[in-house]
This record gives sequence, C-alpha cells and structure tokens, in this order.
Amino acid sequence: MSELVGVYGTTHNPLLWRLLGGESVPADLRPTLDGFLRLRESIAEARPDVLVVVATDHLTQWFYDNMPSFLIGKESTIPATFWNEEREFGLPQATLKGDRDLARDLLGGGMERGIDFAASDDFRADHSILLPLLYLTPELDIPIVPVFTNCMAPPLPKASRFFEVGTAIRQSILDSPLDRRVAVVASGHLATEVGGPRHFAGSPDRAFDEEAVGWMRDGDVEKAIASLTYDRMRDAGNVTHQFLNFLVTMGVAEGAPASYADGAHSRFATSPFFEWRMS
Amino acid sequence: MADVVSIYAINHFMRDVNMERDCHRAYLADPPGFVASWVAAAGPASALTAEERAALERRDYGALYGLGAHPYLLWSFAEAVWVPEITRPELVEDYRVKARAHGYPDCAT
Repeated sequence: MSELVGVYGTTHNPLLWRLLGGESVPADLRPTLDGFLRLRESIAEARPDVLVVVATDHLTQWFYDNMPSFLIGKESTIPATFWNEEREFGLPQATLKGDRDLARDLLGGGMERGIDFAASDDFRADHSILLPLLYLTPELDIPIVPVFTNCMAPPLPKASRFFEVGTAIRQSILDSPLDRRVAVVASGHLATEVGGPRHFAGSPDRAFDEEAVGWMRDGDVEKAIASLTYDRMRDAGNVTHQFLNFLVTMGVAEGAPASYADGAHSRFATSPFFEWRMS
Repeated sequence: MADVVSIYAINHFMRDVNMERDCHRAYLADPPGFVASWVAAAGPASALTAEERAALERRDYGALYGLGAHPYLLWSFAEAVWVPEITRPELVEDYRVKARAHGYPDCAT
C-alpha cells in the first residue's frame, strides 16, 4: 500500500518569480522566501516519490467552453508554462514528470467514493502548479499528479466539496497498491485581488488572512466550511476563492491541526504556508 | 443586466489576445481591424454586442470591467495591450480607479 508522508499548502503568486530571482531579495519578500524554504526542507525530509498537486488553472486550458470542477491529470510527461505566462511573469518553460499510475488510482478511487473527477491525458501545467514546485522541489525531479480545481469560473463547488475531495484523495492514496511515498501540495491564496479596485496594494483583507490561517492551525474544519461562502471570499478579494484548495489539504489531513501555519505579509498579499508533518 | 452569452464572448476574445502570439500582434497593430476579423470568424456563442465590440476596439478595460469581463483575464489583457505604451504602475492605478467606479459586477456567464 502507498503511504502519505506529508501535506503542504502554499502560494503560487507568479510575480514572485522575477522579484525573487534578482541579485538581492526585497526585504518585504524575505518572509515569503523563508516560507518556501521551510516547506522545501520539510518535503526533502519526507522523501516523497510523488507529489499530488492541487491547483487551479487560470482560464488557460480549462475555460468556459469546457470547465471541469475537479480534474485529474494523467500524463507521464507534463509541459509547463503558457506563452502569456512567459511574457507576463518571465516564467520558464519546463517539463514535469507525471505519475500516470497513481493518477489512475486517484481517478478510480475518487469514482468509488462518489467523487466523479474529470480526467485528461493531454494538458499543460500553468503557474499554479509550476511556481510552487520551482521553490519547493527546484530540481523538478519528483513526479506529480495534478488535481485541477475550478476556483475561477463561478458557480464554484462548495467548500465542503473541496474537503470531501481531500478525504477521497487520502483514502485513494492509502488504498493504492503502488507502494509509493506520497506528499500532497495545495496551491492557492489567502485574501488576494487581481484585476479589481484593490489589486496590488497588499492584502485586501488582513482579518480574513488571520482567521483563515487560524482554521488551519486549529484544524477547525467546521468553521472554515461555514465561513467560506462565495461572497465572503469575494469580499476578501476577487481571486481569494483559490483558498478553497487548502480545504482539500484539510480533507487529506482528516481535519488535523496543521503542524505549521503562517501568513507571510508582502507588497502583494499575505502568502500562505501550511504544513502537516506525518512523522 | 448584461447578456450572459456575450460575457463569454468578451472572455473568449481576451483569452485569444492574451494567449495567442499572432492574435496579440494583430490586435496591437490594428485593434478595430483585428476585432472585425475575430468577429467574422467567431461562432454564434462568441457573438459580441455593439457595446462590447466598441470597448474592445478602444482597448477600454474600464468599460469591459463594467460589462462583467472576468477580472483575472481582464487584468492580463490590459497589461498585454497597454504596457509599455503606458507604464505598469500607471496602468495598475488607472485600472484601480476605473474598476472602483463599477464595484464588483457579476462575472458569471
């Protein structure tokens, strides 16, 4: 049987790439870089064979013509970065390894547990997947299974559904006969706005950030689910809905309190760093 | 209330300009000309209203925001079609002011 060796949550803010790649790290972004380095070390210690990456495509390949709520990516070779991301964020083109066998087990395991995932054998990873990996596993040598979620095109699945998806992923990992060491990484935001009246001016809602980090620290699934309505998240910032990906990690962790939960303030927003150590 | 089908059309248009190098180049070179050719090739699901078409011909991100364009796509679009003609900080600020006038329009299609 496979083993769950760690669960993590972090930001995928693509604007970090140019700023953290310069000769010196801007002072306001030091806590964000430290958060990534902390998780990088923890993942290295956990020695996963594969990372299940829970992330939200930004209306690039999953669009209004065909929008899955939850989709498992089943490629063994995954190209990353779209042309607009090279232009806008300076992100590199990359090729990621995929774990097709575990992807099949998660897809089938979801079906058995009432989570009817969509699936794709031909897709590309956007910055929601690549950006965290560039900091957490910079060699990009650990195979991944992407789980794409719709946090962009309303109506969105409910917060409780994201938690249930996490529960199903956990069970499917533990039932997988592949004998893999599996870590789960969710990619999302705290209060964040892009393309609205409050964008690029620090966190639009510090109270949300503190409360949300607290749900993770305390393992307060009930309060998180009750609080995370579409409107509450939009009030916190118009792309805050990607916080829902951390409800998946709560489900994978069976609602246990995170062993580490923090929000790093910066010019952009408060960057989330969550970690559930398994040993 | 805006026609929900046409919000799809605006989003579709912006996505093409954001993601397709040739569309981006052609739109920057001649916005009304590119809009005309895009409209001619678009299927019925991507039919633009006259107001939406005019906003796209003017690269008018404030108007598009008010019409319910998806804000994430719209910001990428605005940056792709205005910078470096105006600086990014200027665009960030002007976009903020223009969006504020509309609050948070319903962007569901």
